[in-house]
Amino acid sequence: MTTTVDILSVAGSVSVQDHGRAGFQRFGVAEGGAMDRFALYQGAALLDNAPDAAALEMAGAGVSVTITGEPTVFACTGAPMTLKLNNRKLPWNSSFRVHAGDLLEIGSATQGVYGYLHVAGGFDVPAILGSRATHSRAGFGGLEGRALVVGDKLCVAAGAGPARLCVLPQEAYFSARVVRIVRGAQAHLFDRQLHEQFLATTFTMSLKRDRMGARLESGSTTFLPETGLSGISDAVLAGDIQIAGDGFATVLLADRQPTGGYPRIATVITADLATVAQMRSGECFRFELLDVADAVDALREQRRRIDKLPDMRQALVRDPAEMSDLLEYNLIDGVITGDESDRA
Amino acid sequence: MNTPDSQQAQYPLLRQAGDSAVLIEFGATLDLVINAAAQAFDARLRDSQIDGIAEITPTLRSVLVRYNPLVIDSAKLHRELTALLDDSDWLHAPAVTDRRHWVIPVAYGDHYGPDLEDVARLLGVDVDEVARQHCAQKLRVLTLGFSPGFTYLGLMPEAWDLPRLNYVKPEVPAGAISVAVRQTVMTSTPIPTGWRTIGQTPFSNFNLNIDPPFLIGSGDELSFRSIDHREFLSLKEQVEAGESILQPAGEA
Repeated sequence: MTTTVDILSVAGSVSVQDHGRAGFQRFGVAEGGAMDRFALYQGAALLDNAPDAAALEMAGAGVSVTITGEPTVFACTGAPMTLKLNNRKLPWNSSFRVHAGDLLEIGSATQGVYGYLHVAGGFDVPAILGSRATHSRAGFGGLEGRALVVGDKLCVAAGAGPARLCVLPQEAYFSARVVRIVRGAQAHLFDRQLHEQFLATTFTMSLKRDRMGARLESGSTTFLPETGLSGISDAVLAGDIQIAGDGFATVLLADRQPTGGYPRIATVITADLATVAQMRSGECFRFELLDVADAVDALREQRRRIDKLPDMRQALVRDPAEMSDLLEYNLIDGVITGDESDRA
Repeated sequence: MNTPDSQQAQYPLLRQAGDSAVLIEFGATLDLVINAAAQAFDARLRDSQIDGIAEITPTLRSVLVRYNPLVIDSAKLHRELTALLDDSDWLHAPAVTDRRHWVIPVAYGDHYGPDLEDVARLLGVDVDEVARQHCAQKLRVLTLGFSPGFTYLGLMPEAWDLPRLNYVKPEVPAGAISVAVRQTVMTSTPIPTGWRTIGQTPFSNFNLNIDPPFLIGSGDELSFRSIDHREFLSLKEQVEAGESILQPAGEA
């Protein structure tokens, strides 16, 4: 018997995502995939999933689901959201067991934007061009190429499931107020004064932001280069910061168009792409310029942290889903040191 | 080429793009020679098997090389790319050898091409002549971009240097054949456009029922043939049944 996840309600925009489909930009398909790749690695570590397992990405707020069939194990990562199983609060960044008929409710994000619901084995939708990620604009990938709606049923891929339930530490990047950049391939189109102004400006994440890109507010400060638009489109990278005709900046993200004609002043470093994606509308930040070697060091450090995730897991002595008085407990073994005397 | 020789002399130019990509520009303008240089270098680079390269994307006048900087550092990659670039005169490189020539069926005018009459007016000819001229020209696939299977073709004769519309149509269907600035673009998914749509093909260059879903790639050559409403419907049915309606007409 298999497990099916039934979508009972949807609050934010929810879609199936994984690490995306690299290799098809020459055919007009941008890589796509999860807005916060680190959160995908966290989910894989919590559930002993393969790195390419697909998860549900939830923008701003989540879903209510139940399951039918075999019990399974879920985990939530990324932007912390309120989380209740059968009306009991559960900690974020942890794994928990779910049985047929259970009601899992994921509410609004308390920090960041994109939260992820993972299931042991991953969500079983067809891999298209090597990925299960939803490409909404072109209408393929994920579940029927679209965001989830009430009534959808998602199959779970067969998998052994994790050996134990565990928790990962909260990450700090949701509260970052500096985003690191390197000069892009078109930095030469902007004069020194514009570059200096760009680094001196405090930006505000606008409401005009989605999986394609995030428009930034900078008051009356604009960054239009004198050369204007070249008019000739070039390949676009995730993290490219383009300056539109009105002089304002937009960071291009996972579902960006694969080519674009607007000049790009800088590119967000790979290690900080999740930081930008998770920035909430209204939050203020500045850009810090790195050289490429330092950007690669930051990426190496992030990779090291991803590789260490399995070691950073701390086993839960009890299934948080079975604890009625969860919030009074320290959930982590080694801290409780097996002392059962305080068990309720 | 449109660019003065003194400006063109600095190319090809290799520019670091972010922390994990390099952009190699072969010129500053949209030009068939510069475009062919990018395509020739793309083919050569794909054969080179440099460890750490993740993806190579040829565009109108450049090649984007994405790489894993934890596998190959940027200095080493720049050296390897420079060595390859120095190896040939890319602006005089022979055309890529694996190009194919395709003939695309197009229904012109009516609801398939709502802007055909407008284009006829701009060209100063009648609508049949627009279709005749459009079918007479062998075009090169300059690049794919913007959306899956979206194909840029060029170049039409000078007279076809038509401006884009001064507004964006919210949506044209998959298969729309639109023209501006001596180019023709062919959509494979419904998209907004600011180009004038003169016809529609039942063919899609992004068809997940067929392997590979993308039949036509950069460097291939295309010409169009005019079909009537009945043939359009019949070919469309074949496409929806998962049949391939295009056969290469030969080497380009």
